[in-house]
Amino acid sequence: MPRITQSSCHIHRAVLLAWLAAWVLLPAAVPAADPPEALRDRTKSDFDEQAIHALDFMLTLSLTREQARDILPIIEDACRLHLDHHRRLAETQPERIEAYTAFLEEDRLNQGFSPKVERRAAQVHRQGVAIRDERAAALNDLSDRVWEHLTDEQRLAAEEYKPRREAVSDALATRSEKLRAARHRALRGETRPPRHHDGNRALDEARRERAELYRSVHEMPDNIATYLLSPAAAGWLYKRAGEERPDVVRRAVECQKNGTSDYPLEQCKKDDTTARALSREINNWNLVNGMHFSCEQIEELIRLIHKAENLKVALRHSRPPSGMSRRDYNAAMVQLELAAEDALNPGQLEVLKNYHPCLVPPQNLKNPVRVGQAADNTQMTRWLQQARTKPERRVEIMIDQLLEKEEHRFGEFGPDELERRRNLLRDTVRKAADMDDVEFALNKDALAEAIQPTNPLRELVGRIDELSRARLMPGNTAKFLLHKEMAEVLRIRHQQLTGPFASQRSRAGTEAAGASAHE
Amino acid sequence: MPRGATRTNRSKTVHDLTRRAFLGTLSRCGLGACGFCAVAEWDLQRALAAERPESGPRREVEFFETLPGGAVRCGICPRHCVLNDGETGACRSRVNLGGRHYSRGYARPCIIRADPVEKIPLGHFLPGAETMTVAVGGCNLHCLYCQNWQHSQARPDKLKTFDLPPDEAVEAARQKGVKVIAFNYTDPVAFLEYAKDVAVAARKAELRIVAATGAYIEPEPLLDFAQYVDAITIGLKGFTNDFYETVCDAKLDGVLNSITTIANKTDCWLELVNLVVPTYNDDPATIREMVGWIRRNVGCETPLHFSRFVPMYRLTNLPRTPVTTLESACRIARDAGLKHVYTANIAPHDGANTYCHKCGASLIQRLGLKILENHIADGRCPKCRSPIPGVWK
Ligand SMILES: [Zn+2]
Repeated sequence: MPRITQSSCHIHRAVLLAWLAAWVLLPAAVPAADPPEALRDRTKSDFDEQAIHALDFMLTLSLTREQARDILPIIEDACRLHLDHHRRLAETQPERIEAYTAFLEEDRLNQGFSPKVERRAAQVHRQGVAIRDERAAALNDLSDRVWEHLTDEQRLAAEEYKPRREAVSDALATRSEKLRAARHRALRGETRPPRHHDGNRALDEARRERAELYRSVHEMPDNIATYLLSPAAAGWLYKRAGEERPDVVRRAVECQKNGTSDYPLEQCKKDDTTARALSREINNWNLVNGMHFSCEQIEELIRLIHKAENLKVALRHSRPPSGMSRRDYNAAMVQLELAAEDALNPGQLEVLKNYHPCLVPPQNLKNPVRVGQAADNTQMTRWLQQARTKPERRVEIMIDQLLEKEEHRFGEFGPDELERRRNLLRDTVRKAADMDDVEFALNKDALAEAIQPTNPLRELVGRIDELSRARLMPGNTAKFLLHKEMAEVLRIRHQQLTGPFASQRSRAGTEAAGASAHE
Repeated sequence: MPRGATRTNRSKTVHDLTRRAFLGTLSRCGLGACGFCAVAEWDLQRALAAERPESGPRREVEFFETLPGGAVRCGICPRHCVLNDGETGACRSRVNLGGRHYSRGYARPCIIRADPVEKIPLGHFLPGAETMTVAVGGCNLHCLYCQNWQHSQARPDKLKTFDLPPDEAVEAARQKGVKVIAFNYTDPVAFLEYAKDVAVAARKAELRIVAATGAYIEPEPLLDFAQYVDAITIGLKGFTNDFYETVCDAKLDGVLNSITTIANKTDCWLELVNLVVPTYNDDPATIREMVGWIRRNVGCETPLHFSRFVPMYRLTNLPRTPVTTLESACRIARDAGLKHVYTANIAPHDGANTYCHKCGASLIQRLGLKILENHIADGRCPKCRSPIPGVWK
């Protein structure tokens, strides 16, 4: 395997990037133009940005021609994957929008969901998550194949690579443009430490942990998958290998640039934006439906949201040092958050405290609280009911299966944690098995509650909320309630509460049901 | 063949058939006629039961009349089912065996659970107290929206059951450390014999008894049972006979009679619950009439819960009750002078909380079945010291 270190790359990276950008991205289209000028017209294109990041990544790795050749079949597979992903989006996105729209319509009425509408929304949501996760998993498999062809140094570089925002401007700008851009960034306050850095180690750690945990539950494409296995990287790799791009690669590049004739990129992006907006609105309605706000509460919340929005505008347009600082903004926002919490009753506060957004809230007939992912021990009760009657060997298998499922849902356990959890499950099953049927019936809920798995992601969200509050920063109440999309939802709910809000379904259907049941 | 059974004519035609003829009719009707089959299920069971030997524990019913020819007339509920040898009553739980009237499924509950007393619902009885809740299959009402139809609309001996004689029920409750035994999920009227024996044993052991019932029952058996009961929540399901006949397969008068009986002739703590079904019983004028009746006949201190309907059983084509409907029902009841009016089966909602009827102070804050705050001290409002009606210790 070739061993080329980063130090062997003597040319300044920015110069090389600009040169490569001109060479790879625009060879045919604008051969005579000055690369930065030509690229500047196209900086709005995602494809170009992706291509530049891909170049930056490859420069970091310093791939040899032999390596590039070895990787080409993998790139071809990645291109196939990309085309297939686009095809799946074309098939599912319009349906997703349709299903979410129907769900939203019923959500707005707050009279429950037709089983068909509810099932469909949950189905397309799951499908969307599956498509995303499957793509990530498939790309990461390809990434593993690329990994085989890299040297240890390259592997390390790939692992540690962080996309540089400057990579794009390095490739695009002249020196004076860079200076101008830097001055703009300084004016916007971007030269200061990252925006979320607030000097609180606990809070930073919790945030980092949350991000890691999220990545461990939902497979995300790694750096190689993101930067090297993108069609945007294909052009460079084929040039590096000195080979012609096959048809599938050309098609994938075209697809990433413009989409396909039956599902143009523009439409794909539009659909994605629409689906995301619908999903956000559904979440807002779910929360409002679940909280059962009174008119007075809604009026107060809308008033507070207006204030919060004004604050956000003030922060956005402030010019340091005289303008509003983030600290001032946080303090004012916390005041609004406290005012919002004062407007809620203890039950609503309790719900908000445990609220975790969820597209289709699970129905739990034992508990009328149906908002977010309300905790429900029904599944654990059933599991326990089965396990208590099984022989020990079978119980161990059940525990293994359960742990595997939990790791899949919530991320991997540490070795100590895994052992603790296994022992808890084992002990609880034994306890349940020692009980007679009546005793178990009376204690099953308590036992199930004791072994109910905790979702570490949700715990972290709670911890971040608490740490933020301790640092006088706004927490979840502001995040979930004090934003302008929520104001719109609240305004409609207010109208519904004060105006005529009759049952939407007809009496005729009802009578038919009554007749069929008793006559 | 039952004579003079109080079922309506439409089902009497089914009773009059032999099993063979009945099954023939059924197949001619086509099994796809689901609605018909659903009603006929009960009758089918009844027809089949006549030819099937009875098994399982049972206890003789206390209230019945022997008729000539080995028939019995049940005296528990206003239906007064007349049953020939081997026939089962409308509740699916009482049967004529050899000219004697038996309660089927005795000591064989299909549900045993630990629930808070709020589940009944009871708002003014030992807030937050844990109960051992017991239910036996069967019910003398056939509500189209029944939330527990799998148990209530089934023959008790056809369900998966526990073996729990009354003294063992009390022992189980004591072991669990609960102070209250509850009858909920199905109607104790259908398993009155067992419920009463458990209540008697519980009284001896100083445990309390609470019950949720549709109260479609004759005064005599009701009083006999109620003397051992500490609190009872009666489902006043609607306020027109039409509603009761269409939705519950019962009659309004029988239920009103039970409510006044409990209110005026017993020491039982009484609460009422009205499940508001969109387009069926949500008419404000009828609600006004109902709360007026409650005020005149039961008093303004009896808590009234307006419960949210959730599509269930045979009424799945209806929406859930709009929150505004529940809120306006509460307003109507308060305007009529009722002091403690609640929303139920909806959370978090301010209507589920208890406020002092005198000074408006917040007394109990609830979230679903959970008590978040309870400020009642010695049965009084902590602010104005007014006594709050209810059982607080
Ligand atoms: Zn008071």
